[in-house]
Amino acid sequence: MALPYAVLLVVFVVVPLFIVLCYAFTASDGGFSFDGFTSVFTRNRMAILWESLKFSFFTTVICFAVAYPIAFILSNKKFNRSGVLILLFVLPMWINFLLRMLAVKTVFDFFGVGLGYIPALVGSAYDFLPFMILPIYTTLCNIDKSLTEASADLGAGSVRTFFRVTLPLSVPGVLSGSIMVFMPSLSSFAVPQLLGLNLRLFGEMIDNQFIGSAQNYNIGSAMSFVMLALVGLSMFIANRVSKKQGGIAEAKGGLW
Amino acid sequence: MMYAPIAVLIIYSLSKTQNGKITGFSLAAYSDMFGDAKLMTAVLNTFVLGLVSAALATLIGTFTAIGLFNMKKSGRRVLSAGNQITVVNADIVTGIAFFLLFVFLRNVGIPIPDGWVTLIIAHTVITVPYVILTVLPRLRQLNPNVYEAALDLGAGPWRATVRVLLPQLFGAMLAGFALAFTLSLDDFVIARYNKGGVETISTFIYGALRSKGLKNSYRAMSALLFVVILALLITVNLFKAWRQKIQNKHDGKKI
Repeated sequence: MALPYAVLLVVFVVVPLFIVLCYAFTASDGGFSFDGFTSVFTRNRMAILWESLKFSFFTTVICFAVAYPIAFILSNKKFNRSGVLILLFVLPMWINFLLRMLAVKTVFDFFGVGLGYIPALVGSAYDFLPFMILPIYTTLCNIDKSLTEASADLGAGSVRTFFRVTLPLSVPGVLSGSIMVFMPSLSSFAVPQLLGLNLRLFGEMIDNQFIGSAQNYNIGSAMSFVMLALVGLSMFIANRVSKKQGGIAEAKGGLW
Repeated sequence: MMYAPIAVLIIYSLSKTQNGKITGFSLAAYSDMFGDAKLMTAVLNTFVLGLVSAALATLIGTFTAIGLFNMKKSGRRVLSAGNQITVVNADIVTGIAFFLLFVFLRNVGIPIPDGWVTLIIAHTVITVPYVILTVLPRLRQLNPNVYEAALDLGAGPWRATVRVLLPQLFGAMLAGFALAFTLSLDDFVIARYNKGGVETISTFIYGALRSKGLKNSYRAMSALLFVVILALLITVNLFKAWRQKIQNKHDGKKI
């Protein structure tokens, strides 16, 4: 009974990616060419890719700084006995992110904050925060309590226990959270575009090759291919680092 | 912190504003909302698209999960890997891949109308993996003897599946459907490249934000959606927690 879906996967997932590959390695006349890639690896475009990597990195760092304390407090059974509180933090994820951005923009309007780099970062971090909280929370909940108790018995204070026992044990959660924030924010273009003034990132550049002034499917496909390679790389790292951590799908689907 | 922007949005949608300053209470945004034909069409489109693609995804996903469950290990591995592609891939790449596929199909003489057809195909394909991942674990928990018994009692495999297996999977199918629906609702990037002339809420709001044509009635619509979806999610989750509690009590007594 899985056969129809196998066909569906080939036709609508594998073949399209292959077509992207074909576009990436041809010129507009249809002949084989590396022009798509050479125009991606120019100084200007690489600068934009670098800018995007920086933007995603900052987003990830902000998310981590905000998410870790929240996850830490929520993983304490005293505060979050039934697990309802964590739900409240993750629920907004289920609302269309453009509506959430509309809300964030309304807040900025309310306080008279103009658009720019910092507002874009804040909006982006707000958008992806649940993806950071959830995996850290899960890892923290799964830490064997006897380990921290042992640490306390052996004379370590709570601060020392946190830095020497809890924090190292939660690294897998932090890593999978970081990847789940870093990767999507790298290719997102709507948030930086709407909240950041004149902020041009890699996602928008791809978008521009398909819808917009620059229209060139070949260059756009070459850029998509670069994006695909980055996704593949991060997935490879993620798989290496934590086999036991649930994948993105489980994290996204965990609520229902 | 997570809800502050939503709260501000609701306050804004309920007030009279002049040059961005709040001057009083008003429900005008809400009555404007229902009078805005374009906005209402976008909302309707989004829900129709979500329901149709989620229904298709649930159908395909459930049968695939059953097939996957009964498959040999090697085949299962390959299919599971394929199942992950769209889940981990960047949305923009998936969206563009669909777009180029439809361009290609038109070039070779298969005319796929831009709009509803492309949107439904794209959203169904990207949500099926989530349905499979929801149904599969439930399938593993089921008692295989019940299905076997149906076969022994003379039901054909098809009849046994529809009459015995599917009713047992109903909860998981419903969860998969809800997940697929919300994912379709949440999507912007894939719709952007495959929407043809069909506007969804995301593409509509994006357009409004881009062109600075933001009206307070859009805020009203967002506020209303926020409240409805949050209420729905909280109810579902509370119900789940409540059932779990009863289950736990029940298990406790047995021991």
